[in-house]
Amino acid sequence: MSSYTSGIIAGAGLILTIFIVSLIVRLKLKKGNDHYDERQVLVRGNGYKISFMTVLLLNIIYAGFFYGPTRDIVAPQLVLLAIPFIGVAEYTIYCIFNDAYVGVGQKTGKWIILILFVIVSNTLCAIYTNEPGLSDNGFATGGSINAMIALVFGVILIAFLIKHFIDKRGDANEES
Amino acid sequence: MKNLKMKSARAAKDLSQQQLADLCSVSRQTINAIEKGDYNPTISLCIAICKALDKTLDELFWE
Repeated sequence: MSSYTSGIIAGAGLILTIFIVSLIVRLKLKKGNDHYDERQVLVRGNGYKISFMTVLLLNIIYAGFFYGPTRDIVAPQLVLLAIPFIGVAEYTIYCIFNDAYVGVGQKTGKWIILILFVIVSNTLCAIYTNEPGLSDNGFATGGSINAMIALVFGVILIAFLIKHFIDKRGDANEES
Repeated sequence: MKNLKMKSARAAKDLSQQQLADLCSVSRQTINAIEKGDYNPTISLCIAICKALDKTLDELFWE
C-alpha cells in the first residue's frame, strides 16, 4: 500500500470518526428540544425542488452542448463537480433569503464562523497544493476542488451578509 | 391579507414577536410572516398560537 493510499484511508477514517462523534454530541444536545418550524420546512422543500431542477437542467445543457468541437472546452470532471456545487449554492441562498437557513434557536454567528473556517482552510489548500492548474487530463485537480468549495462558501457568506444587512435596514425586524 | 387580530392579541399580552415565537417553538420570521399574511399556518401552529395568546381559533383566525 502506497503512502498516498494509506493517507487517504487515514483521512477518511478521521473524518468518519469526527462525523460520528459530532452526530452523537448533537443528538445528546437535541434531547428535549422540540423546535419545529413548518414554514422553514416548506421553504427548504421549495429550495430542494428549485436546486434539483437547476442541476437537472445544467446536466442536460452539459450533455447537449459539450460534444463535438466544444467538448474540450472544460474538463468533464470539473463540470460534473461544479454542477452539484451550483445546486448547493442555489439551495442555500434560497434558504438564506427566505429565513429558513438558520434553524430555530440557532445562532447566525456560529454558522458564519463555520463558513469562514471552510473558506480559509480550502483557500489555503488551493494555494499550497502541489498540483498546478484546474484540471489534468480531464480530471479536476485537488486544488481546483478546494477552490470551488472556497468559492461556493464565499458566495454563501456574501448572501448571509447581504441578508443580515437587509434585515437590519428593512421591515423584517419591525414589530409594528 | 394581514392578520391584525393576531397582532393585536399579541400586543395585548405585551409579547414581542420573538417571545411569541419562543412560546410556539418557531422562528420570529414565521410569526412575522403570519401577521403580514405572507404565510398560512397549519392547524397545529394555529392551535399553538391560540394557546400562547389565550384565544380561540375563531377569535384569531376566522374572518
